[in-house]
Amino acid sequence: MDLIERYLAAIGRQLPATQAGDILGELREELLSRQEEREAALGRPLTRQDVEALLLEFGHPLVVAARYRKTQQLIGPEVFPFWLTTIQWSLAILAIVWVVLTAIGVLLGKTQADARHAAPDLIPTALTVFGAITLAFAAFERFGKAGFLRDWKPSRLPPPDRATRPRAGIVAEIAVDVGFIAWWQGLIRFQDFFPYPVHLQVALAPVWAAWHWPILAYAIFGIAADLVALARPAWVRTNTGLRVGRYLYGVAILVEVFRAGHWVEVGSPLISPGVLSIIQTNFDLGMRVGIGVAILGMLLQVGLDLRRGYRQRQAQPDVAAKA
Amino acid sequence: MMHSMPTEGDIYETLRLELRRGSLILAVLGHLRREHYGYTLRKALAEAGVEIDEGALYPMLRRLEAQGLLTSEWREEEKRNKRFYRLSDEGRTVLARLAQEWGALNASIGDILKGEA
Repeated sequence: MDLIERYLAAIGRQLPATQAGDILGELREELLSRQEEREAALGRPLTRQDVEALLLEFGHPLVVAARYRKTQQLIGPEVFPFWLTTIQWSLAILAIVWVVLTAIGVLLGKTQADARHAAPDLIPTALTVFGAITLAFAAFERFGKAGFLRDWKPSRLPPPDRATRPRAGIVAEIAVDVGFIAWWQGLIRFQDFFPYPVHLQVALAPVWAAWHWPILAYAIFGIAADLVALARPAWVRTNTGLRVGRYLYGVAILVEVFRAGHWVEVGSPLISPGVLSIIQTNFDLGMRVGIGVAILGMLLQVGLDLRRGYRQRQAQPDVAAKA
Repeated sequence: MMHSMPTEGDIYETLRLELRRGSLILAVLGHLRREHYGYTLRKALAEAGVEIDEGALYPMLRRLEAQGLLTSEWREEEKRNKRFYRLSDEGRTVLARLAQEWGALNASIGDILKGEA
């Protein structure tokens, strides 16, 4: 009897106070009826071990109490696929940003400790992202606000054409842009692991400061365009337009930056002006080639996007206007 | 990590439980046309060939009562307080509709199985 009461008390601690008395009364009746049934079958009172076996059969108090809860799962089967996809995308973006930042650190020959200053700690950040997304979806589920997830239209699905941009590529591009913005705004500092001797100072020339905000806008616009491409892959014309617009904007910025002719400033109190001048020339030459290649790459991308958009439109008329 | 493949017996047992799960509510509502308390209801169901775990039965009874399909009252019987359940008027209507659905489904599946045999 004592064991049964202890068992019921353990269940009761997990139940809402308003319902506990009712539920426990019913469970007590069930357990006592079962006890009587066994005693009748055995022809003797149950021993302590018999009662223990009976309660073990009945189930762990937490499990028994949990069956009376209104909420039986944190993320239900209807919301689960959306939760899983969001988790996969978010963790993929996080992993790419981390790998890029860490790879830069390792390539530049710095220690793991130095790399940590630039790359956020992967595990705590991943856990935070995982927890935040799970909490958000659990809240949608709990408060019955998950209806918007079922709001979909077949016309918004991506075209079956192979020329559609792969999602992994879009996600990777978002990750790179996030990393770039973090660096551009000074949230992470690659100069911490610059491979040159400490006495050589390398800084961006004033032309970059003059174009700071347009370049930031370029990266933000890129992320926005990629998010639209992820959310509405069927908006072929819109997505092509956003990408082409983005790259043309990028080309316009880079052409102006290119015209400056001087992009990096090196200085050192310990290096002779002659040697410093050679280093300066080499740095600027490298930048000239780099910016030139970037301009050509963007123009090539514009061509590829226009070709992809044309092929997709051939395969399926644009639905953006109707959607 | 090695995952052992489920045996044919495991698969059958899982499918059997899935198949029976949906019909439990019908069996419970059907039995509660007569008044029962939890223990006798579970025994009556078992005798009729419908085994139900008490961990599933009692929460189900509360849910059905909250939905207005059952009524209940606490009464003393054999010197113990027991909660007696019975089908409400609304429960009778729902049971009649579910029984009709069950009959139609049973007939359809019977036809399908006969055709496949």
